[in-house]
Amino acid sequence: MVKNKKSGILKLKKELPFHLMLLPGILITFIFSYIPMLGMKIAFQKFIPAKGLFGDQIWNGLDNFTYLINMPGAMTALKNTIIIAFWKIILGIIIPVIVALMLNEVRSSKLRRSVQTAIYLPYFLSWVIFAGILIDILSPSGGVVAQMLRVIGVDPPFFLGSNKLFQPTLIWTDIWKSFGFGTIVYLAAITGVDTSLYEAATMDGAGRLQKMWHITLPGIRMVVVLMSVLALGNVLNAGFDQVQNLISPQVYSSGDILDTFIYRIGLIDAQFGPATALGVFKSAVSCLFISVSYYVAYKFFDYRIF
Amino acid sequence: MRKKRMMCFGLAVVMTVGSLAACGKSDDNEKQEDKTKSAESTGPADPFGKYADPIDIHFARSTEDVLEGYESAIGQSMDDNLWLDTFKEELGIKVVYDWVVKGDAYKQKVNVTIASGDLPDVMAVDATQMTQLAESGLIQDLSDVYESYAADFTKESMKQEGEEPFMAAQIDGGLYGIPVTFGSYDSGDLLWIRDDWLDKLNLEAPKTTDELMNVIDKFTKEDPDGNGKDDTYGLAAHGTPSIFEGGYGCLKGFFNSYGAYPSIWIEKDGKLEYGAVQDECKDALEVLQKLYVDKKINPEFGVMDDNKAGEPAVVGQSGMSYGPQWLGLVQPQENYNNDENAKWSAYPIPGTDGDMGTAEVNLATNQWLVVRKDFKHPEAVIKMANVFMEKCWGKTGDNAKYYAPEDAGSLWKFSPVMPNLPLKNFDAYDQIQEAMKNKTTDQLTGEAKTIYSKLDKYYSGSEDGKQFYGWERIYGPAPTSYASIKEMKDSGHIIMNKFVGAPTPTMTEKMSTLEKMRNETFNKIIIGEADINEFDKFVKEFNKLGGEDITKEVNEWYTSVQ
Repeated sequence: MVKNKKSGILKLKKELPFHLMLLPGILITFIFSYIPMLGMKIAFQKFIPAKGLFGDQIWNGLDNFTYLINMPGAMTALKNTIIIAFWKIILGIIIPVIVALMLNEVRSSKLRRSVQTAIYLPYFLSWVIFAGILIDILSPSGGVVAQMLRVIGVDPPFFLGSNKLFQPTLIWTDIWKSFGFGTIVYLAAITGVDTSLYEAATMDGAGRLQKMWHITLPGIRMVVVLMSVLALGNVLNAGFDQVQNLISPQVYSSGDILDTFIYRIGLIDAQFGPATALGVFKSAVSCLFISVSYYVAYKFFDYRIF
Repeated sequence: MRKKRMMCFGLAVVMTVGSLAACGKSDDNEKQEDKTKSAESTGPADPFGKYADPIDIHFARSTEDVLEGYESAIGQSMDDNLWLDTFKEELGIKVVYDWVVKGDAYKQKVNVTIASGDLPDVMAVDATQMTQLAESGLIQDLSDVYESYAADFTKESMKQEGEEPFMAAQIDGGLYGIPVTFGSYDSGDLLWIRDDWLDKLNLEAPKTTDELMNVIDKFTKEDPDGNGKDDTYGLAAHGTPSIFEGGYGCLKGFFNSYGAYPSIWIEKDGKLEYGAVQDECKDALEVLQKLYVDKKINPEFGVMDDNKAGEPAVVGQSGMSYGPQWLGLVQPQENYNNDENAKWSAYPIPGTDGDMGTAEVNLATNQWLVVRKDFKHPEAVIKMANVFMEKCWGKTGDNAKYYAPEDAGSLWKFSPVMPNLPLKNFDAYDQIQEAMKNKTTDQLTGEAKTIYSKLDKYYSGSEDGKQFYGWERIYGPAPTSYASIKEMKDSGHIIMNKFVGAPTPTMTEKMSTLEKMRNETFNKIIIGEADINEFDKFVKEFNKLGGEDITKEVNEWYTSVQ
């Protein structure tokens, strides 16, 4: 007992610096993620901001939630969010993996590097800038895309003004902007695959495609799973920056997502109660999603964070 | 990330707590300072009295591009300009800006400021925000200070168009805001057309909607700019932030032409009804849908704001738009700068029954200056209003220096307190017409004199005078803005919003959502994504989601003031 206790103290002494290193992170999480949860009470109040958060507010139960359900646009925003986020997640995994596999087969390292740089570049532009560029090149009257389509005799569609095309446009431009980043992660994972496996496969007469399928892909499986689990936590964040910069009243019904909706009713219309209610709802659903995805990853791929 | 929303509110909490703490402290300091100061300034109320010991007033305000441009052009900036100097010299008031933001962001910033509780001494808010602030007791009742400190000229001026500007500020019998008055009749839509295009195609300015359709058709198809390309649209339109707000491409007047009044409350059988849910809107929407399908309005209009919609006009690809009187200073002027053959005119809007249309106008006073509860010198704001009015339009004033000098037409906007003389533009127009008829300029005073000298420079044909083309199109002889507005006003073709009270409880809560629903539905119907019958569904939804309650409350107000 005595010995055990002593070693425990010794161990703690040894590990103390590491525990201290955790402290700032815990503090920041507490301050910025846990204290703010107090604000959730606004969701159940007829909130008059001037009275202050802890002032004498009127409690109104679930009124804000029923108000939202009846509010035109809220449910559309939820639907749009799920659809947009779903496709962004699926394509955001598949495309970088494919590109990484293809780039890995490129023998010339110079070419590989320049391609890598080129596709990685848009990742560094903020959405404000990227959206400005997109609006210009996608404009049906003067945009580059429209002019090219006209050359081949196609009537250019209105990518950002049509409810049919707005969602695909959001998804593909997001992929365009971000797939370079994913590609680099997967390329890094590929370098970690044991090269002796490839040599053995070559001895057995495996072709390039077979090696890709039987060695490279299983080799980076864990990274793919990790990226998917991380992405699923974001399922209700369909990309505020992007949508806010590209949306217009004409495409609210196909492009409005929860975040832009909350922004409008909360900050512009100052309806803090309903906006918070929607935020609470969104957090609850996100929490559910990440729990499920983590469970699935654990069950089927034996993936665990801790 | 998933906690982003909560984080925002959490931050608000932290900021609120922090700022409350900070407030507490500074209040104490101020109280002490104020005690010493108010001791000095006791005595009878003097509307123009100077504080012996200069006082600081903290303001918050919005700014715009034109004001920022003056820094390089004439060396005056937000923090250092003629108006701030005047207030300091004549009243002993030093204006300090807690924050200044540009344009649309102002409303949001005020909302956040209200939420944080950290108010400046004085700021301009809209009716909804004013009601919120008054109900939560953060601003003070100004009725007494207004009564004793407002100069006679100020009082007269503010009520020039009637009691309306004060009605929304009357909450529970107190006066909670000083109206930033503007001329309501100035805000009605007119039909701006390029006369040279009409001449080229042998057309007349449209007086009925049928003629309007004809002009739209010809402007689209018959190459009015004569460049041999199919690059013009008949009628300008914009859809962001809504089809009823803004200058070039505003469609409010188009609806008015069809007897629909989509953004005001109208009287029907003695009861007030919201204009956007009346059947007339359906007619207008049907026509617009057809125009869209036939590509007679820009297919991209839905994502354009008025600036974007005005760009084709500047380069001569758009020649007709509904818009307010001041539009002349923007696209027509810029178009004229590029092409001197461009001839723009503002006509009364066409109507359906052979007579001219009736334009809707809202109460143009849509901002009120509110004073923080603990601020010790509420009278200072009223003194500033007195000085502003007097310098711009009073007997001792100098309009050309203070209001709109030649090199800085919007100089007046540098003043943080800027109630306008509501009928000044009509008055100026009358004086100018009189002077032109008699060929004498002796009797011209104030603003009319300033404007006349601008028109004179334009008429002289000098290179320098070309920048005043827009002014001429507003104040010159018919068909110009004021000639047409006067014609419409005198013949009873202007309809005023009947609801001018403080926003009702349900209105505060739900009106903006309902308006958004209106904008979205209308846009969708126009571009054909929704069937015209979607309008009936909108009316039902509107009533279900609060419209009915709002209408009831509005009518209760209406009976109470009749």
